[in-house]
Amino acid sequence: MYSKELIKGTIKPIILKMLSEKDSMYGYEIVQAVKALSQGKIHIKEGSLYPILHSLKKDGVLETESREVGGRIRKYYSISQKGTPQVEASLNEFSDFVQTLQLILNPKIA
Amino acid sequence: MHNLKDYEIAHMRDYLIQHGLSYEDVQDDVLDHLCCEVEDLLKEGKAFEEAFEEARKDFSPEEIATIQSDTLYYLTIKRTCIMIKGIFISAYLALALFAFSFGFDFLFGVALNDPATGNLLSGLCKFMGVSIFSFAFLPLFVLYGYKRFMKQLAT
Repeated sequence: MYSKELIKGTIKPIILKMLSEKDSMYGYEIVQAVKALSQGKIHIKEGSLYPILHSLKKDGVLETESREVGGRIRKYYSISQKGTPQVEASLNEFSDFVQTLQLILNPKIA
Repeated sequence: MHNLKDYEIAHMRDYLIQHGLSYEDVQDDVLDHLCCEVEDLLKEGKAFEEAFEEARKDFSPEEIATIQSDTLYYLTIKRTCIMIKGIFISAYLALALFAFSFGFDFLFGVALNDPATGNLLSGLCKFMGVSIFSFAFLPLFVLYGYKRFMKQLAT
């Protein structure tokens, strides 16, 4: 499991990546998907997930659809039409950042 | 599929509300999350009480308070920044206009010996300064103070 500090700045792009892969997802599903893909190394805490989801929704990047499941309301989050270019830009930036980190971690010293 | 009973869901909602999760939109999300965790544990053969107790480890009172306060912070940060900017700008403008009014009094009344123009410009600046102070600075300042007070009451 990675440290909280290391994961902190990457949660938003991770969430957006998950949502970009599917039509819509609910909170628990996102957490489980990240856990499975990272082989249990990344666990998004509920205290981080929902504030970010609601902030992205407020900014119009995400939209929600509420459905009643098992006696309670479940909200499915999806990327809105307006948010698509923003998500693409965010994911490209994140990918570029990871590549830059690789350059630092594996320097080719001449 | 281990369906939770209505009273079990109500019990979990009460737990969240009891620990300060009053924002309804987030309450639905967190309740569903908690229910999913409990359902997973029920599938493993645990009883509801045991499953709920285990799932509660992820939803400690501190964690619930964090979810509520961080969500409200993210949702209001832009508006709060605009409000603080408004408070500073209106305070600066009101003070600058008062300073100008004294400047005009001195410039036209003493240096240029034209008190009528000085009074006119000074009066105009004072009027604008008082208006900005009364209708921009004070309402924003009071509103900001009120919101901070209400937030403190809620936490």
